[in-house]
Amino acid sequence: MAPEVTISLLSFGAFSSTRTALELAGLGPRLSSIEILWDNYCAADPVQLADDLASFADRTLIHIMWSRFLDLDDSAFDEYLTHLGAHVRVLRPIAVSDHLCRFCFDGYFVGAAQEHTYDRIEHVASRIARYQDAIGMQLLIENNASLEYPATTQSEFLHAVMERTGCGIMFDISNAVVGELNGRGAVTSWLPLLAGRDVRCHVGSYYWDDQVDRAIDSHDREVSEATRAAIRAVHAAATIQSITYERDANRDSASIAADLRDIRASLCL
Amino acid sequence: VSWLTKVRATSFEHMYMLDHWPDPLPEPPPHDLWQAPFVFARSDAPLGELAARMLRAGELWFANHDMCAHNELIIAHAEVPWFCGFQRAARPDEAHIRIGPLPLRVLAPADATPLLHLPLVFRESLQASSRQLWQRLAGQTK
Repeated sequence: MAPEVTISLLSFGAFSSTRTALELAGLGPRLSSIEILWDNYCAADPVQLADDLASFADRTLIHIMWSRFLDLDDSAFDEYLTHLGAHVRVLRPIAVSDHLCRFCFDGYFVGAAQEHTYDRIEHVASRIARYQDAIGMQLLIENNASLEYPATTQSEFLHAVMERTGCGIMFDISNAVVGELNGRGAVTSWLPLLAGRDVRCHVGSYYWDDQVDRAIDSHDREVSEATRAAIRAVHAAATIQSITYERDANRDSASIAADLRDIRASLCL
Repeated sequence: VSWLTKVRATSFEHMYMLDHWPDPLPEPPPHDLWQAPFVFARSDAPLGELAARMLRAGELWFANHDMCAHNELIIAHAEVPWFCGFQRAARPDEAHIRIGPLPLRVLAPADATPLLHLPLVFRESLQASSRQLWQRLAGQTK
């Protein structure tokens, strides 16, 4: 089956602009599936939300950024899982994905997710197991845009967690490109983990931050040629079920549509 | 400069509303992320400064990195008639609504939760009030 190219429906405020972008990209008014960043919908009535999303697509993918599921204490984690579980039972998503990240240092929050240190596997595996029990399905874990840790460290840790818990991977292709630009290992170093698997993917964008001398995941501009090349490499090595395009800022419909067309072209669609 | 150092500095400035990184770093009180602008506020801060912190807290509450299920937040002064309100978008193509600060008493301190060490109280609600009423009040906001 051909990979599906879809988009992240960022928030309630993005419905019209997203619909315009899809039509400009030639994808029509409805998709087979649409992804939501659940952070921006978690206060919504899930029944009403399901109706609203049905105008876009038959099925939903749920992506989560700020669950902080590794940081929360036990009772807060239970509360989070109860909240998410109620939405999952109504929305019946085809995938739920989250990150291994840190959001709090010395009791203070930071405004952007920080890369996990790829240790404490017992804690990580235990939290993922509880997560999957609560949602009643496999959790997909997204790879980080590495700044400090080698891609092999991350992929080996993810592989070990997948072996222990049965969780899957949400492979963010542009994050892997960021890691390569930061000298943390080639995109191809991820291929052994992906080869032979059915994978769901993300594609976004990044910028070079001169102050920290690193590429930073940003979702605020066009998809790079390096990312398009990486899409082709992943497509050749694994079975891509879907690619979700993420654009959080500078959401110009024509630019989004051009990216969607380029992603489809990279998949020979 | 490491990315974490940069992000922490930016977070102290934007979220905690500090212009420099405290040294030594005090242990913070337990707080939700949206309450970050109040952590370093002085209890005798003038209303203008508290208002700026309330509005920043509202921005953070709208971003909802606390992943909370509430749809409405009121922050009010515990002693004088004065409040801000924040209501989330809940349907396609709606925008969030912000009210205030306005010199009205809308929240009895007894029905609200004290906000850290400050003369402020807050109340979060799962069900939002009338959107039309909120839009009318938002129109009165300077």
